[in-house]
Amino acid sequence: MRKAIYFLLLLLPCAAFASGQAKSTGDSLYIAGDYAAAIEVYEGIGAGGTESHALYYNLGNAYYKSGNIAKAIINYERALLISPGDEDSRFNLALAKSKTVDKVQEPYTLFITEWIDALVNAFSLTAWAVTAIAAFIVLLLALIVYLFGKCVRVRKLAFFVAIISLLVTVVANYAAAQQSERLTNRTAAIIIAPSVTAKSTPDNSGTDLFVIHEGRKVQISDDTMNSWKEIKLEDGTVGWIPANALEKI
Amino acid sequence: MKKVLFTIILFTATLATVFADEITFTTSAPNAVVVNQRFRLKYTINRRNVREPLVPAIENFNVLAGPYRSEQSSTQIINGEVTSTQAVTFTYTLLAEKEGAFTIPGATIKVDGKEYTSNPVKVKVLPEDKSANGAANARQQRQAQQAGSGNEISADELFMTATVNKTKVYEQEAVLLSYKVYSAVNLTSLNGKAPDLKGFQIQEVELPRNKEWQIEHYKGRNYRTLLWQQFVLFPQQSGEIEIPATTFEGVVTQQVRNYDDIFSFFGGNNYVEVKRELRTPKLKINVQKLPAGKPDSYSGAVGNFKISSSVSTTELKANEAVTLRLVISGTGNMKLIKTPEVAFPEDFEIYDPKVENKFTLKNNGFSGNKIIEYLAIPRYGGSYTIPAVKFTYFDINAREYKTVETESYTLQVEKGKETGGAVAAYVSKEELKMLGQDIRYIKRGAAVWGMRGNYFYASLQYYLWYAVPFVLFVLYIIVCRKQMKENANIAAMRTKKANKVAVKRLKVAKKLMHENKSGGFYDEILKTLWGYMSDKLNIPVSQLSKENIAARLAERGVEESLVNELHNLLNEAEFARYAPGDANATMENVYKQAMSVISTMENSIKR
Repeated sequence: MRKAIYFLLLLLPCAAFASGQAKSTGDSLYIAGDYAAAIEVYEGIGAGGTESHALYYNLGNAYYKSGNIAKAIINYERALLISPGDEDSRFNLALAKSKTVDKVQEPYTLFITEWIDALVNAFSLTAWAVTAIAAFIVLLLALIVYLFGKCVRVRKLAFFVAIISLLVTVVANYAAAQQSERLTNRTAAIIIAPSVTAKSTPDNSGTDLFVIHEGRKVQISDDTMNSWKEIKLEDGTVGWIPANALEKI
Repeated sequence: MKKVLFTIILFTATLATVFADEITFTTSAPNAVVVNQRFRLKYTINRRNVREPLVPAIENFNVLAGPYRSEQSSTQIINGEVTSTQAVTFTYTLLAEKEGAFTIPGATIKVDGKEYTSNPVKVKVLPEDKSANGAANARQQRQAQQAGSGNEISADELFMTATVNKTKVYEQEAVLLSYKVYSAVNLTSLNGKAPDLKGFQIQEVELPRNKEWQIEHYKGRNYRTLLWQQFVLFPQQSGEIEIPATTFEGVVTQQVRNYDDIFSFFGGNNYVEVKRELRTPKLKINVQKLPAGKPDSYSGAVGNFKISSSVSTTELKANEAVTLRLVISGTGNMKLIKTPEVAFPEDFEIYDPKVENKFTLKNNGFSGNKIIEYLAIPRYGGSYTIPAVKFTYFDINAREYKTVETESYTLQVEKGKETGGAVAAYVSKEELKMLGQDIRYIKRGAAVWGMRGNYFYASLQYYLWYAVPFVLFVLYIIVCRKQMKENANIAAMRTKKANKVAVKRLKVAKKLMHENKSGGFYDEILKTLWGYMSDKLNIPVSQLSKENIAARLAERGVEESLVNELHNLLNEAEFARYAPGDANATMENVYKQAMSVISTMENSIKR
């Protein structure tokens, strides 16, 4: 396991180099206005397994420019998963969403939930992980100072610092865990078919429940079948749609 | 010159023949005649320069007279167009000798060297009126016509019948109602209203305007009959429905021969117009309910039908229209068929269907086509199926419900240019902000790359970063636990610190002590003590005195015993300074005492 990781870590710089080259090619194509070619190049990088927030963002832009709003939304969402605090991605996502067919009313959330989300999204996963570790180390050092320090004032200070560091570690770990959950268990998806009718059963003979259109974000509530997925909308309605009508973020 | 004139005439003559219409030669005779009664047989040709036709032997009839030739020509000028017709008729008077139905063959005639034959005609010969024999019958008829004034016309001289072609029908099955007038008198006009028929949908049959009298033999008497009115009825409810008795008003012209009147003597017959009511009997029609088990798709149609469909296109773009055309053809109650519903997929905007009725009224109902066009517009792209349309009708002959269906169609709709453009009626405030905006530019710099699925967080490396420092920390604690314990003993810690402070201050004094300079030493001790007090109490040395020190120290929480100790020390130092004694031994003591006082003070004084 370790070997694999070290190997991968070694590869990383090489992969990064190659991807960086490809991305530059893609960027030039985008600037030249050849969005279709740029899309090809960008998707090619992704296929290799390397990813970057900037890659998804640029890919989203290329799709948007060529009129494929649903794919643009998918890529902006992916960019935001990696780097949730990026303003540009958020703006572009909002713009792309305004071009979709379904006008979705975002469900009302408590302001506390919003605060927590804002906090979790303030940094990327890696940033939180590093922060957690740093805070942990500071915690240990502060404890040492507290336990071994001579001056009482310093010891008191160290005690407070230790408490704060502990808090920071816990919060950072929580935020990182949330983001990690989002990244590994991808339950959100975007509809890519122009329009799809959701059925009550995973079969064409089911009753038609509702119609949704491309660009709509849905949550996958049942992912066990290959050809049919059960989806849930923002207001809680569930229905079954064919698997080829959506793409996971 | 003569030659030229001749050619011109010949030319125009030939032209005339070229432009003339086709030659028609027709036979005409009444459909029915009564035995031993004369009737006329006519042969008509539309040319003038003809000779007598050659009439073959007419069996079963006696030729009494003929042929009489009459000519007729007419010219019409309508809107500048000149049409002229000409006809020559050869008339024969015939008499039928026996009853039956016979055919009179056509005649042949020669026109301009060509031979033409006319059509044969069928004539039905009816028996005489049973009431009297032939000659007497004719006289009686004349008498009836010349009846005196106010002479009543009996019921069997003039009446009207109402007949239906079926008395037992299903709901919506067509029934033909005919009103026929039978007259043995001179009926000159007839008026009547169509009956008020409840429970039926009525369609009047258009009869030719110039109705011709026929001769019919009815109940032993020959009558002149006329089909007055015909209706096609569609029963709308079940049960026994009555067609009520209808009254018509007829006017009969009668000859009045009044021998008394002197004016009539001079000739001329008076004619009297007699009004007479004709009443038809009422009729009952037994309408059966349609059998149970009507399928859901029953359209209300009764009769015999076929359905076909077509779609205007199977490949189109979003926001373009597609038309589904349904044609229902057959015979029955076409006017009352419900428009079938077409289940267009969702996302299609459906408009009201357009119905075109192309049928005519026949005796057994409406016959023809009903064309229904459904217009729909898909709003979004995709692959859609228009399912087959079912049409159910009731077949009268088979006495069961039959369903016919059209085919289903699969439409491929391409995405239109403006996806959702038509739907963007609702624009929220956020969207207004977004209108006209463009996306932000791409990120061109070097990107930070990672492997998808491999993240730093929750990786082995991550946990190592926690584990290793923690282990080091624990190790460190274990190693230096003695020091930690000492640290934990705060009193000792403080005393140590206080001692350090004291030692520092008495450093100079210590030096002097070792140098044995007792005077300087005691001086230094005092200076140190006062200086320390001054520091701690924040009072300048000049204002310090033994008295206010005590008060201040007490304020600062120093115990009385300590204050006394300080006092003693001060006294001793002063005493030792100014009153020499055994300096060395005392110096050590004083030094130690000073140390102790200062450290204890250090610990006791509350900051």
